[in-house]
Amino acid sequence: MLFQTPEFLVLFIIVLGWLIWNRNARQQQLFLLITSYIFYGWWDARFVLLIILSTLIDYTAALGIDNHRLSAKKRIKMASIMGVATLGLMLPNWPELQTQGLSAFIDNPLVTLNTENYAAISLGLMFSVIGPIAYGFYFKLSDKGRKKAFLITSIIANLGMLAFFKYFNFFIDSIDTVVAQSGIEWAAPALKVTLPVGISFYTFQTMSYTIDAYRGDIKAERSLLKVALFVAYFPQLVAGPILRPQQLFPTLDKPWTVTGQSMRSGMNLALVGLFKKVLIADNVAPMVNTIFENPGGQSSIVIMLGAALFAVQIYCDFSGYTDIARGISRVFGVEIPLNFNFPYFSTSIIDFWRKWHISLSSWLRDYLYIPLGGSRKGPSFTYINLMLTMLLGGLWHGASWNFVIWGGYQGVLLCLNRVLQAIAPKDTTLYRVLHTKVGTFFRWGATTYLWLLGWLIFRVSDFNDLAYCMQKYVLFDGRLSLGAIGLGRGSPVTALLAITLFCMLHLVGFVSKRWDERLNSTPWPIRVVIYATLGILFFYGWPSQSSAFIYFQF
Amino acid sequence: MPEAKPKLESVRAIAELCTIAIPILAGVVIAYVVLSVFIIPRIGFPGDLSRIVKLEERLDSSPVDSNRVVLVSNSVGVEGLEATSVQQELDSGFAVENQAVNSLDLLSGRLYIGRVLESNPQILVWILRPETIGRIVPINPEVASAMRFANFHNQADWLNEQTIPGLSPDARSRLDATDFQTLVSLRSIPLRHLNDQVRVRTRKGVLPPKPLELNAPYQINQDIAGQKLQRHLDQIAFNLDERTKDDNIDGIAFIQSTIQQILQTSTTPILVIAPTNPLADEAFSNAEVAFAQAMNEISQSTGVVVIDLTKTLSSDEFADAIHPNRGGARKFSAILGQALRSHFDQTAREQN
Repeated sequence: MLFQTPEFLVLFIIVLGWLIWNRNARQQQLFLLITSYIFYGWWDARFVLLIILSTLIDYTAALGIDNHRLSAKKRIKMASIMGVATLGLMLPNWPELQTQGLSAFIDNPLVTLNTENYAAISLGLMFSVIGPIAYGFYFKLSDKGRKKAFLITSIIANLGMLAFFKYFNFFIDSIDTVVAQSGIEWAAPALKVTLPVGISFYTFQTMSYTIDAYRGDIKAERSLLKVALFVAYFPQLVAGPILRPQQLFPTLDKPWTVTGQSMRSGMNLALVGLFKKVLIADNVAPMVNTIFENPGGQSSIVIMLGAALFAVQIYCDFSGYTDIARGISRVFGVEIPLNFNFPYFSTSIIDFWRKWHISLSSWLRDYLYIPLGGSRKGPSFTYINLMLTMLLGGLWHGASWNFVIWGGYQGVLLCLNRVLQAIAPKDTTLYRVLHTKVGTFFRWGATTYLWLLGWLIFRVSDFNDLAYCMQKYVLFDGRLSLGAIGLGRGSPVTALLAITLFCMLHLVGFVSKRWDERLNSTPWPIRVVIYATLGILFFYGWPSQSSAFIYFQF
Repeated sequence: MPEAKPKLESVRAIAELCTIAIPILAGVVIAYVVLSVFIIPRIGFPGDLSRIVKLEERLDSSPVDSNRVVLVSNSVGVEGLEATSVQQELDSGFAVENQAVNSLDLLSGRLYIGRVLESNPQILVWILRPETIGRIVPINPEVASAMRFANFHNQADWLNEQTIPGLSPDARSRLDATDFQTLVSLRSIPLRHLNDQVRVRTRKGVLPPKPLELNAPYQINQDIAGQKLQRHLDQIAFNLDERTKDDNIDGIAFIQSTIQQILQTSTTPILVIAPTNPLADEAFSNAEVAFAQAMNEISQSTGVVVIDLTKTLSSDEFADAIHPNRGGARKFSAILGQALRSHFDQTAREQN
């Protein structure tokens, strides 16, 4: 279910009504959990099973780490939840209902059991039987052994699901390519694995819960309902920000309250997000697609324009989603942390990664880079750790080699940035020169040039096209005409206007106040005019081809 | 009084929501009024939803076994063909239907022809312009959504490889049927109201369309001239350039595969090369020659008749760079009717 669709509007109004009407914390949470599952199941109901499985594993793992042994009754209850969820989500013909409608579903209410369905049902039922038995064995281990066993189980289960659903096809395709190139006639077994929306986000979120419990940073939550809501909370479920347990659990101790202030502030933030997504990102997307669908033959300036347009698109798409998610949550009375802090004004690559997708970069820092040793083991290990972190961070974005290359590229830039820091420490002349106004502008320009090149790697997946684009980006060919852009007459002007408009809005937000904050403090008669203007803009600017958020695929 | 504060807060929250939602809705209403009263009358709307819906209804109600000649084309046919004039030139045994759709291109044409074939016409006359020799351009989203709305194709096979071959995966994913449904459901209400007015006011002097008279709905009677005409000619030349600038010339192969699709049914296809404006000769001469040659090759390989009407109209008979005016439409229709009759007579003689 996309935020910009009528069905989401209905869901939002229902949830809002419930939170206003019902002041019982537990009932609110139960309702939010059900709506979160509906929200996620809207794409494919069967994938809700993955979230339930992930929830049960991490709930029990964290409790086990905390040495809290569940009673037999509770274990049976959880096994029953898993069993019923498996049968209830895998046996009915939900795909028929979702694609063909109710009458088709009534005609054909049960799925045809093929190998994949059998495997999923068997695994689900097996887990509901074996889980409670294995659980008992873990408590026979030493304290340290039990904690490790629960942690490792959780990590293997979560990463296993992620690896299977996200990387299986990539892995098989890569093997096939290597085998084919070596001349051997063999094909790896093919499976039709569909990527569940946002699996990378909620997998990382659930893992942080168990790891934090293992580290003793949090106390394992006793309520399954709260853990389930933490995993599935719908505003940020499919594209983050990746929440930490400390950010949501404290809010669950009391009922959520929708106030006048939270409504205004949250709706304003959500409207800013919708503006970015619908009016900027979705309108820029066709231009970006046209340029990069077949970039061969395009001039340097067109490739650069394409990179700039994609930078605008991806920022407005992703930060727009985050703003809507944060805004909706704020309306409900819960604050979700900032995920973007004007990254395009960064003056170094390190700075950029502190401001871009903050929840992912801080996750990678806390759960990967620092455990690998961070910068504690000398410069060589620091560079190795940075490279490893960014390569895996790149792969996290998608099962494709261009994301690995993109991660590697970011890793190299971060290492070079560190080298530069070592060459020019704070008390040197070079440092002082680089931090004058001109020096700061130069650093911003260089950083912008480098991350724009990074976006080319991110966007262009075909290697030949990518090589061409990078060559054109780095070696300017001197052709200044935009006429060959291939977007039709007038479109270069539209493209430049889109970039200019974005830069102006972004700059104003950066140098003074964020747009949502500005709206919050605007007197209501002026706000009414602004809202009406937004209504007009939405009517005219709503794209004819509404598209999903780019980060949903991750 | 512990409940008083939360209740007050709830009221405040609802009031805040109203101060946001009502102005936004008011903005949407204002935008709609401005669109229908000021903008649409000036710029027009490409999708022609109501026309497509009515064309679909007519296909549904057409008698299956009659001698029907269906004319398929884009705006050149919508504005430049009078089915009655074509019919007058043919003998009375034929019922001519002008099923032209504005902005119909090769991709949407393939979808559309598939639907036309379901109504089992005896003859399908496909009128094409020389620029179709070039690269296949993406499907016009408004046409596609209108066709989707008119149930030309059910959702299951809407975008598969057989229905629209040659569509890139990226373009295919952007044309996802669910998005279309949302788009269409969001826009169908304003479209229904606005579409009938569109062509009335698009061009000053255009006669009001008679929606049920699908065979000759518009009939341009005021030509554009001077700078406006030059701009239109430049635009057409630019579009031709865009479509033929690289080596990826796949339009002909696409036409050929569509012809093969028609030949698998009991319908006989006839290809017609539409008249071009002599004023656009400079831009079109190369494309015209190449296109005529390609059509002849298709004719030789498939046995399909090609009628070349490229040079049949003078520049006075065009309302703009490509659309025949009222006089041009009458002449074009008559010439087409005569050409068809001559072809049928010849076929009959050969059979005897």
